[in-house]
Amino acid sequence: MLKIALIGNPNSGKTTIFNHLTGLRQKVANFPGVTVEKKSANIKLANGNEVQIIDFPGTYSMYPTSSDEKVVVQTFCDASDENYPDLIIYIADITQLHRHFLLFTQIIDLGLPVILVLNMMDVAEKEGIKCELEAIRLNFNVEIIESSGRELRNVEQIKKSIEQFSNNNSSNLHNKPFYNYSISEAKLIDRMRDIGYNNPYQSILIAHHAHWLPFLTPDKKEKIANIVQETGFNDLRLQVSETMYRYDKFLPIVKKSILNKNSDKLTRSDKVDNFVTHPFWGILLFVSIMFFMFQAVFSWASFPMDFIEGTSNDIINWLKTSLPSSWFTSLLVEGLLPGLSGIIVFIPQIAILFFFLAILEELGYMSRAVFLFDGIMQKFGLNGRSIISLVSAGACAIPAILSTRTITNQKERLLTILVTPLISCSARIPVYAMLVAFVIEPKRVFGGLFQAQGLVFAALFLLGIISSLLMSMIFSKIIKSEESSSMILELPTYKYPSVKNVLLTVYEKVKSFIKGAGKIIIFISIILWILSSYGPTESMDKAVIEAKEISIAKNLNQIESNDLLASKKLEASYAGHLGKFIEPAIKPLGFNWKIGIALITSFAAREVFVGTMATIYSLGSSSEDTNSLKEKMLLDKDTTTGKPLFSFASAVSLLLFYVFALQCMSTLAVVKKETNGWKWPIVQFVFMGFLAYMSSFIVYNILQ
Amino acid sequence: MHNTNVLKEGYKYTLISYNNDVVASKLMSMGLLPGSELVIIRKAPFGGGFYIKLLENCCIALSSTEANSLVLKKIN
Repeated sequence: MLKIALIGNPNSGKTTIFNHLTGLRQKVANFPGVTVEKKSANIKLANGNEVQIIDFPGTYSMYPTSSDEKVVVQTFCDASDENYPDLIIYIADITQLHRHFLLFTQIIDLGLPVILVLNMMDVAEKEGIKCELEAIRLNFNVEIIESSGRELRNVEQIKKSIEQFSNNNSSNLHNKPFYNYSISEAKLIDRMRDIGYNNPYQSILIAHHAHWLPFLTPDKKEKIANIVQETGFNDLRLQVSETMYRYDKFLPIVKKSILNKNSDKLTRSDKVDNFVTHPFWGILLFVSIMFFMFQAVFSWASFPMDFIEGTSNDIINWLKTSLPSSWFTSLLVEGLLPGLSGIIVFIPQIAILFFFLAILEELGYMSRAVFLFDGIMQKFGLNGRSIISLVSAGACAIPAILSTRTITNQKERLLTILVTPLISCSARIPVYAMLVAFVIEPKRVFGGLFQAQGLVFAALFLLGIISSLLMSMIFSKIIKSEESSSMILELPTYKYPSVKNVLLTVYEKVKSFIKGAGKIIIFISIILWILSSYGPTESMDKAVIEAKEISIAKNLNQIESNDLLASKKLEASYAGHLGKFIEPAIKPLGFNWKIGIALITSFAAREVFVGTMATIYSLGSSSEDTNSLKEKMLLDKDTTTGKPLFSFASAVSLLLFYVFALQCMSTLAVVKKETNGWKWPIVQFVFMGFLAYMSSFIVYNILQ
Repeated sequence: MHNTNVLKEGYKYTLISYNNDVVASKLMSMGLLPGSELVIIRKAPFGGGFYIKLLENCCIALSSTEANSLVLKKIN
């Protein structure tokens, strides 16, 4: 199948064109060996041929400074790469040709067939820019398509040109080389030909980038190093002179082709920026936008989430009553379906968050926010973009971690992923609510201004924020990186968001979450189901008999005896045994085995804690009545010592535990997906667990 | 020269040269060539970077470290 690469500078409108060419057929994967997103799609042309279109990351030149750009170099310099294109479609913003042609002339020199798409014609017309494209056509001998992705202008023409190319599969699109090699470069090219590199510019690039190019064998690397030394190839100086040569040669061509009107006056973008990047108004605007977004994710998502939970509960209950009771029914209604609904329930949050983020990105606002906050975030080892993820994490860590994709510095991205789950998410609220009721009575403090419980809540959230920033500082000292943490960022002119781009982003994020994290979530759900519904036969049988005896002795009604049975069964299950097994380890934190069980089951999701505690105390897991649970827990006494099992100190300790511990399998699944392996989710689980254990331990022992 | 303290919002400068090759490579590929003119639009709060504008509507944000590797001359 023919492979067609879309490439261009950032903000050239490349993605819009890709979206129009491919629509819902897009597949998102990673480029081999790196976590750089690769979007591709197979499309069928009018002549029946199928071609693969690959959207490469926005790139400024073949001398990369980020892993995004490196992907382009390593793919285009290696004919055996699985993504090596047969045809390149180069997309340039017609109003920015004086910058976007640098990469174009480099691409031309790679010797691959190229079609040049001059995009944003609609903007050019509005700004009164006149184009005489003959000079470009003559100098580069290239097919030119004038387009506007936003107005869908000539997108069909791009398809037609691809079709024509696929028909004769010919290379009549070969262009004349642009760059003139210096003497020392020519020497290097000669020697590189001896070891099998035939394209002159590829040779230069391979020699320049040999130290990191993944496709070179150690043997080849050594040979290249020798050639570089023997020919006196000074890569850095030559890089600068190559770049200057290209500019000197193409700028006159661009000047001849693009007749620009006076551009010195203040544009609309400038006026908006006066406000948006203002140290005071800009930050106020950012805070308001984030607040609104947060509210939306938090409250709008609750309707569909309640609906999903309600419906799946209805389905589960219906199946429970209509299916014969067997292990399969139990697996279905207690393992598989809750797991499935546990995945679906995240979709509203992910969709709403990315709906807003995509609009902000499309508008051009996001890079302004990065500019405003980069200074402060750098102090914690993070990136200006991290603030978006950290704010989003207040609703849910899952979409927040998915949103780190836009951080191009790999170390800063990893740091953001690692500390994001420390921000208190909405799933902690039910746990906090229940435990705060233990810790403090609802009363007004500070002259009636504040609600005491509200203050504790606020303190818990603050603790999450502070700890995430501190941990990020610590990790930034530990994790090494070759990339310099820098901010060089283009601030594109403001544009109206394209509906298609926004909706496709939402669709793609939801899809990739389900595909990437879904399997793990289902798998862990089933494990947790096995743990909590099965146990050693002996103790399970005993539990059933015990429950029956007590029911008869105490003359319990049907519901009460069922709740008691569930409680006894849970205690006798593997989860119950595990809870008792870990009791010595959690005793120093003020927890007993009952809390141990709840800690294990709430690994599925933090809010499960409340339900499990209710089951253990024979209240039925669906019980929403936290007050009766509180009473039961307070009355619960150690059978030997007679002391209360659950004191003020253990409540505070448990609260702190939930602030820090990574009690969320979905987060682990998403981190595994986003970091391409189990290393970082494990590191994260361990350090957050350590934080939780230590802080609970210290606080419990002080308060006791 | 420590640009971080000297550069003023609203003033025009000419880029004489770079004193850091990595920054030079990146910024040149974005169109900021020695000899070109730029305007400082904004200095970010919290010790953040600079928002500069090149001719023909290209705006770039730089952190202070990168801004310090530009050798600039003020245009009156």
